Amino acid sequence: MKTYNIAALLVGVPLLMAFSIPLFGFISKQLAKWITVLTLGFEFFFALYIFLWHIYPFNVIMGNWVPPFGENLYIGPFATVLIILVSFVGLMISIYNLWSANHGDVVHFALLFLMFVGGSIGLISTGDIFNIFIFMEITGISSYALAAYGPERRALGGAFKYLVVSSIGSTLYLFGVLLIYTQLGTLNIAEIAARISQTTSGLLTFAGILLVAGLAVEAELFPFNGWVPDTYTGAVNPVSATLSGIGSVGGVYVLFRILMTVFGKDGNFVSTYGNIDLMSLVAILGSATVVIGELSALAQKNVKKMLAYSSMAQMGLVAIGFSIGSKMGSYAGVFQLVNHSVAKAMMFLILGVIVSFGIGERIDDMKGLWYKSPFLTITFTIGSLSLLGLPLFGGFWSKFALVDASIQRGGWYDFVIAIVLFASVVEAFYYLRIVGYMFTSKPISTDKIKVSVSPAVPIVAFSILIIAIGVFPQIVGGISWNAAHELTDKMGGYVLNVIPTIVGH
Amino acid sequence: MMSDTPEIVKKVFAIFVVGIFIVGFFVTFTQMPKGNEVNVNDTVSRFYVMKDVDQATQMLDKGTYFNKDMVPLRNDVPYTPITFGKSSNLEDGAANVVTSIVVDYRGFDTLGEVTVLFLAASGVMLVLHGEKRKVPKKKTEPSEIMYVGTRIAFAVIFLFGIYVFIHGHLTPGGGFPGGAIIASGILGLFLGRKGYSPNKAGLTVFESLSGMAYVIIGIIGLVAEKSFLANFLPTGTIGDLFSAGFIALIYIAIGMKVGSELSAVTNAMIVDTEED
Repeated sequence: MKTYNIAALLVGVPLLMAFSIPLFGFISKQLAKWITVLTLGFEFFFALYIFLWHIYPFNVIMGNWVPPFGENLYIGPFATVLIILVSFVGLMISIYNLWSANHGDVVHFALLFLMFVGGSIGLISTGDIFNIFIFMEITGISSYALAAYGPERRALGGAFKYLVVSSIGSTLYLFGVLLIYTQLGTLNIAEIAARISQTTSGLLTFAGILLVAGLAVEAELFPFNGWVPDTYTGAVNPVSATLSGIGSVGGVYVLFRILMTVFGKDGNFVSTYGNIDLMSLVAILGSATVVIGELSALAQKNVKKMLAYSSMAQMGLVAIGFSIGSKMGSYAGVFQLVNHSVAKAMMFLILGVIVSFGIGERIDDMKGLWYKSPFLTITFTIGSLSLLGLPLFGGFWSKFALVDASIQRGGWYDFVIAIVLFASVVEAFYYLRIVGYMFTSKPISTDKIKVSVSPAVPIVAFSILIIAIGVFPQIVGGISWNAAHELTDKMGGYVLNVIPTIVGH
Repeated sequence: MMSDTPEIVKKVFAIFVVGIFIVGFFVTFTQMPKGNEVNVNDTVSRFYVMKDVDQATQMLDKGTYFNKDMVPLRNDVPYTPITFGKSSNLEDGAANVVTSIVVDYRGFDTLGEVTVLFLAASGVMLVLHGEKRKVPKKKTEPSEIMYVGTRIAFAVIFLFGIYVFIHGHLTPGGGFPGGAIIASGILGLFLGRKGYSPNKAGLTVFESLSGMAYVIIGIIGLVAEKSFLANFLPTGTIGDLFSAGFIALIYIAIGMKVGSELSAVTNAMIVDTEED
């Protein structure tokens, strides 16, 4: 068991700075926003250090109580890639917020934003199922308030819907955790994973259904994602970018950590213990999410709502990828998650810039954007092409891997190939329609849009990253492959790294 | 948008969901083993029977304790009884076992819980920010008895709250109830005096500093004991006021934090949602 306790600062520093932000807020509102930038910068570079110097996989022991007695953080390849992703997207959005967040109580906005990102990092790194619930509460409560922020009244409706659905979801999750605790008397993921076969299978099935139902709310899977369109449309654009690029990442991570590591049964393809195979259940939910999300996005006249539905559909693709259960499938899932998170966050930010110059959110309002701002048009095009999976852009590699994994699995996963290709065609239609409007139609007025530095930095960084992944997929591919290995080999990849002496039953 | 759904579909869906729950719980309870059939070796994590984490950790390192035929409740494992007021230098040292779990063994969860409360308070501030502060219409002024009574009661309640969180490692209670007691004292002041408003900036400073104190205690543990939120003070004799190491420090921070936070939320809600 390798320990690296200093990495507790990944969770400790955001907490410390979040508590101190009200004090900095007395000095200046701008300072509070800069504190978020600095803290998330620290997180990003610390995570990058862990990745580049190859310190992972390691444990962080809390309070000198070794697992399974106390709490621990486990940072393996899967957690490393997602922590880098989350802190990078968070850093970029916090730079954007320097320019965009001016309305209302900016100090508390900065605080809640910082804790949303910090809570997501905690959610991804923790090794204890009850601790996951705590971090779900932290990300949940900060995101309800963030979603309600903004000058528009429609934000309140969306935030309330999200509050109701998400708090029911986290309660269901808690029920599931309790049922597992009655059986095994432990909350440590590694110990539960090793001893899961000792439980009563009916109870385990019910607990699994409760956990999936609770986590699918955050992961935006079909019957539990009614909040997505209204919340994303109502919230201000940086908050929509945060929910789409960071919130869903945490949800998906926990869902598949529970399904594949805790409930997983190793084999050629990972399935779960219990009376029904929860991996197939999630595959069905994911397929339904893709079809419904894409078709709904096709029908939208409002670009922001379209992005919200498209976000749902992309999360469906991610869920399908993981639920295939093979190494290739998990690789596709991680890769797709990275591509979706980067591209969708960027597109919400671009929309925020466009809207701030008095241009509407409807598709017709995008006509002739090329004559007003070539910069925004080109970056929006890059995001669209990545999402629909064109070669030389990031999205191509993940969709390619997804199709590859489905072919290897065979069986009814042949339908998945059809669903992925169908999704790409529909996405191509609705994204290229907007891109076409942007380039071809002449606008009535050709007032130039001057984008200032602070919103331009994140947009440029995201576009460069998308093209870099598209040209050199190995910068994400290598660690995604390690992450896939961690997920599919539960004893060697996870359990024995946390409790080396444990024996699987 | 949701109102387009026909009523019958909603009802069928609701019955379906409730049905899943009923079936699920039924299956769960029928499959639960009966009380006398429970084999401790199967259902309880065998380490938790040991009552002593240090000892269990040594056995974990040897690696024999995950064997299937291992019996956790053994007579040959030495067990030294813990005597109130006499035993000293225990691994945790808190007389209140709930506190020892909440603050020491699972201290990271508690740090999260404190943050959840802090975020909820901040969220209330964010959402209610900029709401028009209506001047309340003239209502019945509180009587002299109310005015004097709440102020005397406040002093007593305040002291009691401090007592509860300082003695968190000895008696039932701790930081969260102590803080809530202090906030209820402040609520009394609102009742007793018209137009009472606590010093908002003072509450914010208190809240921030006590929250930071908790994290800094954790970081001191990281520096001194090489582990975040580790107990870096001697645990002393069980039952003394100065025992159980850093538990009292953390509970003082939590108590101040919860007290000032709930007071600030009460203030925000009372002043901002005055309707008539």
